[in-house]
Amino acid sequence: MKYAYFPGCVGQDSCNELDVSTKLIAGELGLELVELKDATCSGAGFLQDVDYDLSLVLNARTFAMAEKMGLDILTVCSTCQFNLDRANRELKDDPAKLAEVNEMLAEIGMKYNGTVAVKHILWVLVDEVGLGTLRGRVKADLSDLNIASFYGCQLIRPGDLHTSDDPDRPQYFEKLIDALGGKPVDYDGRKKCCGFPISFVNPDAAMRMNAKNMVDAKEGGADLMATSCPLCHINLDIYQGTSEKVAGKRIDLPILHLPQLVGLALGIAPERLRVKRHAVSAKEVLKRIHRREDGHPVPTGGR
Amino acid sequence: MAKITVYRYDPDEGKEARLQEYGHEVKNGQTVLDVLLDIHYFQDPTLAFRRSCRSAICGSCGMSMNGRTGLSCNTQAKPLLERDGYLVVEPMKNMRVLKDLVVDMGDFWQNVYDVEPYLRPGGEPKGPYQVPKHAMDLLKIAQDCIMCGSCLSECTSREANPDYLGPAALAKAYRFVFDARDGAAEDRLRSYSEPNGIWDCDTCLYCNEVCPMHVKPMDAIMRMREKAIELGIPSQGARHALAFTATVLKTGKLNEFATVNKSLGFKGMVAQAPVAAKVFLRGKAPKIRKKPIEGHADVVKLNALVQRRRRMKGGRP
Repeated sequence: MKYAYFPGCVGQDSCNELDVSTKLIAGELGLELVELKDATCSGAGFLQDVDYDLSLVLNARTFAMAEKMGLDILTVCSTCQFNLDRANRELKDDPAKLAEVNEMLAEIGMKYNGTVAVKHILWVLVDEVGLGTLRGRVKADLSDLNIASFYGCQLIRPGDLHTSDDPDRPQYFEKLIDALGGKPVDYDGRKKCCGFPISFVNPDAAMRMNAKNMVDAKEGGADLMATSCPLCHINLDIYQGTSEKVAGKRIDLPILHLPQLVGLALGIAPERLRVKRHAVSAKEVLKRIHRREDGHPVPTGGR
Repeated sequence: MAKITVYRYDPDEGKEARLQEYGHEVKNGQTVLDVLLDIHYFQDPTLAFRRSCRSAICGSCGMSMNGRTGLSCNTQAKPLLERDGYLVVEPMKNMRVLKDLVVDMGDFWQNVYDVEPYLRPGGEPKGPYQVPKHAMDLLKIAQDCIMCGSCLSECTSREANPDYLGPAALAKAYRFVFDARDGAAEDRLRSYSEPNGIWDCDTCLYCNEVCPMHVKPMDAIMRMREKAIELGIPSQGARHALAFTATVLKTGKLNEFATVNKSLGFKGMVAQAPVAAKVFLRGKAPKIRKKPIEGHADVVKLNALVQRRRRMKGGRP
């Protein structure tokens, strides 16, 4: 399995532990990643607010680079996934638009034929690496942990764009957590908004949303939360303290990136996954992950 | 016999809302509304819900079915029972419940009135308006709205902020901003750029997802933002989007530090000091300077090409 890897801007900057942990688990699972070092930002919706046409052309340039390598694109961010995939779908569905974009790409010596697929690492882990393979590779015992998923809106909606999961009952993350040996937490907030896109416009509303989802998860018994989007991670982790003030209650919920959770299950040391970079410490929770001997689960004492 | 669970509330009873279960033989092809009508006619005439046309035209029967809002008259009951093993019917969210499945849509309508949902032609017409096809095509994403309220029910921004205008009202607003016959686009966009308007959408995509008429309120909001920026209408949302875009054009990648700095300004940055301290302590501070990507010249060239094409077409629609 070989992919053109689109790391995303935040995934290599303030959340660079996402990039590091992605590369670590890819190595363990035999996912070959060719990094799209020269790709631009996907636009994240903000560039689209200013100039949608420009975002389309810049993203087409990224697709053309992957197409030239003969590879599909792998993303690790719900926001990148949506903005890239929406542009890709528009270019594939509208030959006139594709032709117009290609006229511009020709000026920089590029062309996009519409043959690339854009896939989030969550889908690749479940559909391509496979849950069976993952189960077989798990080296740590996560059975003591209730793990809440947080998808990020743009990975599950709109359902007609992301056809792999059900927008009403998304299950990919839960299936993954189960395969890694953890207990998925069922709570409504997992498919809601973290508030990040309006953090700079209406911070109070953003923090209320953020707090509500985490309180929901905690009430559902969550010990830990994992997210498929670094922008959600910023709000859930860095702004958890601010959200606690808005909610008027202590939350104290450690938040991991999806590849960090996979890495822990595969037995990669937390230090290598840079778990210590998070604002909310996962130290106590990580103590409850036990080492498995020769693939035999540690007895759980009937938990 | 399937178990149908329905939300019940009667203000005259002076009791808390409750969930009531009804046994019902759900036939193939029955919609959730058919099931409710059967319950109403043959089991419990006190069950209250709105409905009229039964053909997904009137927009009366919006409700939440197994957690997703839609029209009960075009939602099949059996597939929901088969998928989830249950059928729970509840009133729309983000609106006050009047009785059982009937909600108060007063705020919903007030939001629609607030966007001035009527043509403001700006002067006397010289003759009959001829609206060209390409101008009508722009309105496609908004014109089929039947005001059922499903989008508002699922709106995550509205859930956190009751003053937010919401997707249906803003889709209606779009309907006039981009109407070739309307002469008040700039005026409108100035008003919609105020707090609780277009910049308060959190782009969660719920509205696009649940609309039974395939209206795209979020897309409508995005296009109004773009138009507002083109017209230079100031707002915090525009300021942030412009700061973000400037960094992408400068290097090809987002510069988180420069975006936040420019978006919040000095005062805003000072207010962020506690968070910034945490970020620094954890070694998560974003880079202040970013190196341009290798193909940065391509980005500059593509941007120039996009702008030139737009000028040739005479600007945005």
